[in-house]
Amino acid sequence: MNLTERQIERYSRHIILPEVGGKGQAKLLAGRILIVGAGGLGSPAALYLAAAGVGTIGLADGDVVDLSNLQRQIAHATSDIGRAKVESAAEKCRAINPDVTVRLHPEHIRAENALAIFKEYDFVIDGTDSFAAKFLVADACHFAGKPYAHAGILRFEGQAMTVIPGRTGCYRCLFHEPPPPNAVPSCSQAGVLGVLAGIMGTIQAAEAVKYLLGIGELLTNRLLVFDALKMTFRQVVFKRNAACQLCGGSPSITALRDEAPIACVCAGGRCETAVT
Amino acid sequence: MKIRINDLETEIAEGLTISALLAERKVKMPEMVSVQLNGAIVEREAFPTTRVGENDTVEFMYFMGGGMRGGRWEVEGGRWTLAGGKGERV
Repeated sequence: MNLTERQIERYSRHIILPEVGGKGQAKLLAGRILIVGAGGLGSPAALYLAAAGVGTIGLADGDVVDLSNLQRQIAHATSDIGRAKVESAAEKCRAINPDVTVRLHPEHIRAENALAIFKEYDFVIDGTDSFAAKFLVADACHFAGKPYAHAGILRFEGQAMTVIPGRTGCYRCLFHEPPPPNAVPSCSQAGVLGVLAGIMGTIQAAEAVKYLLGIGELLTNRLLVFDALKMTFRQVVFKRNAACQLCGGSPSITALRDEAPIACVCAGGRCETAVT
Repeated sequence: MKIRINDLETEIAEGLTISALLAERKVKMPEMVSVQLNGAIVEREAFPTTRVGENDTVEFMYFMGGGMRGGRWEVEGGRWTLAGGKGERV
């Protein structure tokens, strides 16, 4: 791929990095990243990947922009309330960088549509919010053989890790299965500092870029845990679990399935919590 | 005795199981925590029987999603509540 003069100028701060160069930039332009969830994590990831010149960015989300999203979902503006999130986010990505092809999947990822969507991409970013969706993305990436970056946020903490199916520990190695339906988190355990989404989402974007470039060490077999109140990062090193029900030697999960959503009771109302 | 929990040296009573440790550390929702003991994941069923020893390293890893699934918060009787059911969009 030959870069145009405009592209050389646009990506000059990448190209002067010896680890990237013109060849690396060409890899990014040929790269295909799927972002599942165009919300708190997906917004910063999408914007930075667009800026980086990732050639194809897929956005999968069935939601519309809500006023309560705007505290952290920075791809959406006040005037986008009521619009499909994928359309709103795609517009911002295209405005940043016309080199980028943004593909819209205006639907929630489910067991029956996940594999067909995932197979069109090189790397997946999990920007979903619910447990059910996180396990589905983990499983779908396993069955589709797609590397992916996990992240979660809660209150003042975030976590992230990267999974290369068949080679590294997976989400289920650590978290086995969604919390039992009778687990009833309280609202005091919910909420999230908006900037956390930016911090963790950009970590996921960095992993995606590194993967496409083939440089550095991915965040594999490590769970990175960020504490915004203490302003510390620490990592929990873990091993692939030989008894993992998804990626272990004799897995019990052999096909994609939807996990039941987890609901909690909050102060008279009900919410699905990810607490998370 | 001393152990390390999430990278912090902590003094705890001897002979605690993982379940007891979660309670002692006032973990509000143990169902939401995955536990690693000395680098190996402890199966949830083994929490009540697995004991923590001197100088062990324990990691509590929390399920984290997106902080809150959408929906709309409303003031109801002076309290904030989430409108709609089961996290459905409202």
